[in-house]
Amino acid sequence: MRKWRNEGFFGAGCAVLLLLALAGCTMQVGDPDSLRSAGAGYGIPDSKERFAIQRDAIAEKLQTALLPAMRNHGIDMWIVLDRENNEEPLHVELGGGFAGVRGAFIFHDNGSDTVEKLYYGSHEQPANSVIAQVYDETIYYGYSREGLTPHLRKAVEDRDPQRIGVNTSHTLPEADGLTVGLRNFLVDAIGPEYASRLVSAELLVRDFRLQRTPAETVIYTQLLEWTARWMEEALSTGNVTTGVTTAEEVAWWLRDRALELGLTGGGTVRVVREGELLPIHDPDIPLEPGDIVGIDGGLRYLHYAIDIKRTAYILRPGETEMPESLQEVWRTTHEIGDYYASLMVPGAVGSETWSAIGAEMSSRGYRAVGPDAGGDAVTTTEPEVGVYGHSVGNVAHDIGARIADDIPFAYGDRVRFPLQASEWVSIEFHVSIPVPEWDGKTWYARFEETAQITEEGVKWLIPTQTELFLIEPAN
Amino acid sequence: MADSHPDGVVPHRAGELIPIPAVVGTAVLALAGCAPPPPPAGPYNPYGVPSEYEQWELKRTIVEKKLDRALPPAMRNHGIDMWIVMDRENNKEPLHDEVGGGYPGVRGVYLFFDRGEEEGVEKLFFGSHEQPNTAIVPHLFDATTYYGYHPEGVAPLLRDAVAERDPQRIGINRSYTLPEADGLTLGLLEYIENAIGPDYSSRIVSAELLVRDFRLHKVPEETEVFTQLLEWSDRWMKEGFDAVVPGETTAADLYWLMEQRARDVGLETGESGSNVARIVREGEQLPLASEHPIEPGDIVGIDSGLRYLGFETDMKRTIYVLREGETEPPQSIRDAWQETLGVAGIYVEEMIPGRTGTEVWSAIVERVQDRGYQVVGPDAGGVAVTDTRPEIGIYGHSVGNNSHDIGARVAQDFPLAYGQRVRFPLVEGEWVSVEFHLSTPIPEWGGTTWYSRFEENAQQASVGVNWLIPRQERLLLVAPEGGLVGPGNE
Repeated sequence: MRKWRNEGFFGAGCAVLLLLALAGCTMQVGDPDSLRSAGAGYGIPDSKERFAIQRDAIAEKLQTALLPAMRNHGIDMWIVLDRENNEEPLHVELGGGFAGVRGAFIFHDNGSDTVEKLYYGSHEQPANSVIAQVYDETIYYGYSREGLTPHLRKAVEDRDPQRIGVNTSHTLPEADGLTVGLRNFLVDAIGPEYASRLVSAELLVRDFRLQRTPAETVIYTQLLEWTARWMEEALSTGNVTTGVTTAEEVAWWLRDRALELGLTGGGTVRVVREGELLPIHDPDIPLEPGDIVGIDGGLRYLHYAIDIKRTAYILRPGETEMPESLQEVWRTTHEIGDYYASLMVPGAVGSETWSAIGAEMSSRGYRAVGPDAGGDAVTTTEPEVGVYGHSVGNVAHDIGARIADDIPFAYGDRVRFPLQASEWVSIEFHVSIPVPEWDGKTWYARFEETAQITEEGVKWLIPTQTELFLIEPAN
Repeated sequence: MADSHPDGVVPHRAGELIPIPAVVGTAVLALAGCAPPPPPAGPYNPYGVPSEYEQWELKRTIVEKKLDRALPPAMRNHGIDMWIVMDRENNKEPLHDEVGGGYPGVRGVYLFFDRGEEEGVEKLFFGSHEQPNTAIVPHLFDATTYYGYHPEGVAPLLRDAVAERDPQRIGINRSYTLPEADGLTLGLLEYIENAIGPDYSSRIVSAELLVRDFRLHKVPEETEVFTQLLEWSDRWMKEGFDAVVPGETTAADLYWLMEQRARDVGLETGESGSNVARIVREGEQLPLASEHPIEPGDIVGIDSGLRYLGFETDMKRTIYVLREGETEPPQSIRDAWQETLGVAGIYVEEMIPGRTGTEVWSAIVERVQDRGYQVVGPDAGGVAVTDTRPEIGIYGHSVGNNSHDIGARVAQDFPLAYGQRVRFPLVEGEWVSVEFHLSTPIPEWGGTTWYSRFEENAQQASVGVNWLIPRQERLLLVAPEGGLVGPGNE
């Protein structure tokens, strides 16, 4: 295949190689991929490779996670409806594609060991689509006068399901994809008898998502590695000029760099200056020596999203390491993280775990603080711990157990869910510890790392950040 | 995290990748004595796509103008004095970005209240999480309330905001046939009703026509962005064709090449999934994205678009692959393309503001039937009905924020297929996709038809349309050994 001729960079790359060969040098500049995209340095797959990876992960998930999720909640048919320009939250996980007028993903438990998978949409899905390669039956009904209705009705009548799950949920956004208009359409299509068998599929959705397969854990671990590397680049001496670079600029850099890598993502960049939490992304406050700079966010890829934190200390002139008092705070932060992680076992309920950590922290002399939007600490001078851990994976705050107070209108029913083996969790909290050099004001240290729940306890998917990155001051 | 340290990585500023001159410079240095390569400099950004920050500024300007100019008439024309748009993290409303975007957290509410001509439309935002300076909401909304992980959530704020303003008709995004105006989920409708109580709940109405008018009222700033995106789309398609090596490149290769190219230049491909190269070989349409190599004599079309800043194009470009010795397509093929352009001319003459989509469709049908074409009906851009008789299929649509957008649809009166859009009038200033196929018998193919496809984006004028970029006047030509040649590929 010819390469992009208009820029001529493949041609130029070849010319370079040729010239280098003539000159007898060995230099690492001739790889065409390194010229095309900075992402090549990370080893990020191209579009076609991504398709194959995603297709395999979806096929494995539908094959292994769906049937138990349906049976555990007594749902023998699950109907997920959406349409172009208004995507269902689960659209991509079920196979994606172009929904057109109305798309129906229908799953039926016919008693065998495999869920029957039907896809009905207006437009033909091409050969290189997940739908075409993974589904048992596809119907493309075009712009027909009655649209999806007769096909949907027939699929239901032929199978006579007893409990038909649909995505509606009061407190779980990911399981509330059915719109008011589509609910009315579905009821009209299947008639009153079958409409009376509609039930919420919210727990099916939860279990389907939380049952992490080996293939998706491999993808997710890789994305965590890329994210940690990207954040470390952002918080490096080469990228931060003290007295000049602002937190806002670092935030935009993260987004531009993600695009360069062929990914999307970003982060919130927060600065602690001698115990003061500076306004977020203030365009007029440059970073200075002595600041503690943290990134909270992550990259997105193949419908997975990362949510971790990485933190740097900006050395003052003459310093070669962070002051001992701050190092001590960070060690304590990790000790608290280890205690928190020790409670993260299958079956532990979100709000109960939150209460248990709070009780232990109180006994250690910390004030345990309550609902918090990841914002300000309650005090700036007292030892304090705030815990707000959550499920993570397809989105930053995912559908599994939430380690928080038992208030469903804030955290969803997730606070009442038990942890499940194989799910991914974000272990997230802040700890405020007074720092003598700051006149007793606290460092609001933030910890957020991703782990997988196993029967043997948590498994960190990548190494946690045990040392802050150190940024050299400008001359 | 020493484990993940990027060995030797020099962090780049936005877009700083190795440009060609630097590479050539490296080679020269190399010849001069194996000096180390110079650090990368200058952007790899061949399309000149703005940085993330510049994109944010553009977006903020557009949202501001739309809320100022398009929203008040849209509310008043449909008698809605309060419009509530609600969503939550992980389940985005289709209009989320257009009304201000940001992170809604637990539940986000964009509440618009019409205080009349004098005071204008009041804009309130309630969300769980503080919106940073780099979000749009704090810059444009009159009031923002961040309620955190409060036990009662947004309910008390919503209840008080409604009760204090006592609206008579509360619009929400609910629609049977318009996906873009059906963003409210079942769970959130129940939440609103519980929050505002039965009296105000009885004042809830569908805001679907408000949504339509808000979106179709295009401000100059967004037409500028959309035109830019069309230019990029045209370039991207030509670059795709330019990479074709006949006998080697398959339609599927072309598809993946273009997906990757879009990513590399900092854009996304359209959501319609129709980014597909179709090969027509002597009248036969090969399967979508097939593994057949493209051969001399083939006609290949791309139907696709790019996404950027919440806008999406949807257009086609078509090539003819020259056989050895040919310098242009056979006369019969050129004639068929001229006829396609002629029909496009008839089509746009019938595009008159105030006419409904179905009326326009009928008017075009009447005229092309006189030219001897059989008119075929519902079509998902798929297969022609016959392969030997002259035939036309018309399926024009609104375009802009999505490939198939919320305005009038030039098609038959089938609401369950096309939405109420077929019954909507054309509006001056809206963006339209002029789209149809024409099947013309080709003598060299034994009378089998060429199913030629036309799709260009335009802005509706007082009569007819203004093409936003030049339409494709002639078939692009690919040389037998590969590469675009001849006129039209600049």
